[in-house]
Amino acid sequence: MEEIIRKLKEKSIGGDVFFRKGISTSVTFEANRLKSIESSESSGAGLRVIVDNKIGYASQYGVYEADWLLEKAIATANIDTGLKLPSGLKVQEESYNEAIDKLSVEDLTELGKVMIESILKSYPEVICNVEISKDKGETLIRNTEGVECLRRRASLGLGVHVNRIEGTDMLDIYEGDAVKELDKLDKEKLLSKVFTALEASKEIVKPSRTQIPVIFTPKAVYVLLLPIISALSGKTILMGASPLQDKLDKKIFDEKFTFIDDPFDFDGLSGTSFDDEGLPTRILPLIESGVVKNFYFDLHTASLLNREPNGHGFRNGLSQPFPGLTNLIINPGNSSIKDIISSLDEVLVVDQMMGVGQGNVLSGEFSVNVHLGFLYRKGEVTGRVKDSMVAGNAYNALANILALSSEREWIEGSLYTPYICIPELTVVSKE
Amino acid sequence: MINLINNSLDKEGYVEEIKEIFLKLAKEKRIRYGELRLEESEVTNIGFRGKELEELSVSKSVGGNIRILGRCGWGFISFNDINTEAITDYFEEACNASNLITGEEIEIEYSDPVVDRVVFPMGRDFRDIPIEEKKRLLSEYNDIMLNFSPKIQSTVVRYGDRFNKRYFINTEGTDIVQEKGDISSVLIALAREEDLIEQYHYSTGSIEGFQIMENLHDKARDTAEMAVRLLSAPVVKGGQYTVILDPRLAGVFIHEAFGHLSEADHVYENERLKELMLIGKRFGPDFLNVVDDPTYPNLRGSYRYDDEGILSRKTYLIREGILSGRLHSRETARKMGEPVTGNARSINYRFQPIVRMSNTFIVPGSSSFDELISDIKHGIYAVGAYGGQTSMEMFTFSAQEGYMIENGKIGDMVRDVVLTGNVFTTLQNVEAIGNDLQFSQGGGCGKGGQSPLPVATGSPHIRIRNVVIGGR
Repeated sequence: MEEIIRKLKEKSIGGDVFFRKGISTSVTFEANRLKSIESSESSGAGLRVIVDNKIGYASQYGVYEADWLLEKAIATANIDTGLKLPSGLKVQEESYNEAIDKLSVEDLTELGKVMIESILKSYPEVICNVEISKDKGETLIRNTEGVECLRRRASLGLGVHVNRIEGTDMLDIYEGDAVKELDKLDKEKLLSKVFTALEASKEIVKPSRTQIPVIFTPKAVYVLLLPIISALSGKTILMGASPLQDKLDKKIFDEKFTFIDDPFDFDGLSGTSFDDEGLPTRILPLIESGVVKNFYFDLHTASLLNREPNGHGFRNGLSQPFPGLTNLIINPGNSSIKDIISSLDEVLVVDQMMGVGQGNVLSGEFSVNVHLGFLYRKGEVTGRVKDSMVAGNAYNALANILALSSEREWIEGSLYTPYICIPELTVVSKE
Repeated sequence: MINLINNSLDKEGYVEEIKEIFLKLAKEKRIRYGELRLEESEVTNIGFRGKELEELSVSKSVGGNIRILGRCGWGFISFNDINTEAITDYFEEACNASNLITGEEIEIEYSDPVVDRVVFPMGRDFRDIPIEEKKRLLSEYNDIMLNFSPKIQSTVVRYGDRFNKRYFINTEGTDIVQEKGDISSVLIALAREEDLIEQYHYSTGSIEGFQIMENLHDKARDTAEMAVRLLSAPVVKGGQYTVILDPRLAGVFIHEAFGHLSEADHVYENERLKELMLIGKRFGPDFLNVVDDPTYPNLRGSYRYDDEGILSRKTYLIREGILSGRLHSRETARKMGEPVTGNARSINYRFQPIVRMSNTFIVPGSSSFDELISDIKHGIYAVGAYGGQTSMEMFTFSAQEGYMIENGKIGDMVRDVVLTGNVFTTLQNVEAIGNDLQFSQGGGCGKGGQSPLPVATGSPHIRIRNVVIGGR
């Protein structure tokens, strides 16, 4: 990398080099038994140059060659930009957890076996597929202005899929957890969620009417957030295609709704003190008590919009930076989920959906299949709802929230959210 | 130790040397079955967002993997630092991993060795076309959309081409090299009226060369026009309808509704699902025929050999309404006692091959569009595809736009048409199949974390009764 930076300086070309390396080990159980053990090692580098205020980009997976990257990046410099590379930040960030680092393939296998045995002990008729992976990653950013940032992360991911077939009815439950500290992995909680879903799915039921209150579990909240996340991205603002374009400091959502990007939250897997362009990150309130507070930008997008960059340029693999988010946090409410459910005559609790993001996300419209959902009457579960669609508009839904639960859960280590209860949505079921 | 010079596999004798090391180690360790794959690819991406050029970049990649069958399972390692010394370490690691798996023994189907080199020819090879020319053409389409109407708020244009060369050898003596170019592209127009924002897209892809990107000017104009028209279309009213699906949406429908359930890896170790998916069981009317065919020429899901070195072939999934076959890997075929089909694929060297579709389509019937629509009193004509998802039993698929059908006539446009179905009832509810088969190649398929895999979907217009459509 040093060589590339040196050569750029010789040519008086500004630029940054992004280097990524990953090592992962995973064990896969299929139909209750261990099926494969996998390891992977990969690395690569991306070079962005700015030649006469034009961006060029080249990347290479595998052992990179400085000269090829330089030649191709310079040759592709075509994108007009006003971006100024940041200067000076030197950081080394380590979040290796020794306990995770020490886990052997045998340990991972044992963990999978324990999970499967616990489930089969109570429900011998089900089939379990489990995947456990241990990932270690290293990211290094250097630029011609002196930035040198290194980030090392390790994490452990556990995914459990339980399948039960009765007649032609198929039940699929997906639960998972991702942690950066081994003792944060809550196996018991994961198992109890699986058991609750299996118990609640004994009967197939239908809502009594098409307009009913709907609760989105933490796993399902994303369908409501996706349009908001898109609308707040600098890219969408740049296109003039955001419904929130001219709504900064205006109250658009329910005052119970506070939505923050927090790169410093300790439990989140996406936390970092610098972004993938070498800018320091900061806590960014996105929605505060229903009021739109901030959009998020990478350097290039911010420059095109004449805005201050806010440390939210992230990359996908070796892609060019784009506006991205870290740990998403939603503030909790006051009532427990149990109390919220008990307060309603009839409520659909949606836990898994199909079809999220398939449609015009920007407009906020959603229409999704209830892949796993339960109907509660007066606090008691009556059974599982299937062959049904729940539809609504995310903007309307988040403008009128009945309640947020006091409990919160991490989803894939990147979203920390309560259950969200919407007073009324349309549920259409097969006749 | 030999290192890659200029980080390319294309050096005289280099791949041969790696192969020899692998085969020697496999022999020493008495490996039952093992594979070595080496791969290199070059990618160009170009994109516009509104009037701004957003992306113009090139990328290249080299990597490989080793997969070894132990007594009871698979050991797999992927890597992209390739040198003759490291190959030995990678082999050891994959071998050790495969030996750690204990329990029930597994078997696979073996095949006769094949030595072949396959090159999919391109009409206009995109590697010979200057990036400036590609950019100019895309910029023309972008301008057509941007200038179509003051209501066009913005656009997104994306183009990517990838040339891929795969070397595959296994311990059976198979030695295959496959080269293929793949293009995928999408044009998106966003229309805005106050706070209402609608979008429409045209997506395309091909392995036939850059000529498919030429002459899309009308498509660009139509895309912009549709985005503007959607602004005045109401949201569909949720309910149960008789629907006609256009070929694009019907292709996604069959991919989700039945294609995935035909992938034997979902079935082969699930006794209850096996009972539901018995060959010979009726799933649809006797005029329903569904095929997966990687040998169909020049589609994005076309290939000669799969990623286990098995010769590809055409498989009838449903013949005359009856379940008649399914898609297999070496392992699933053996376990179920059915013939291999050559459907084990992986998106790149970093993943193990799993059972995937290729070009999946509904065989055309005899009905004209007028015959399909004429006796529908109240229904919906659903057109174009955003995508779909399946859980095997239930599935969703979403249209780009819909039209109400009243008394056999196409009426007003509606938007946000998302349909859902159940594999055990919806296929039985197919009422008629049109005569106008078309393939769509703009999409990619996702499964087991591997996405997007190039596939094609195809169908004529089809008519289905009692389809649940979500809506407010």
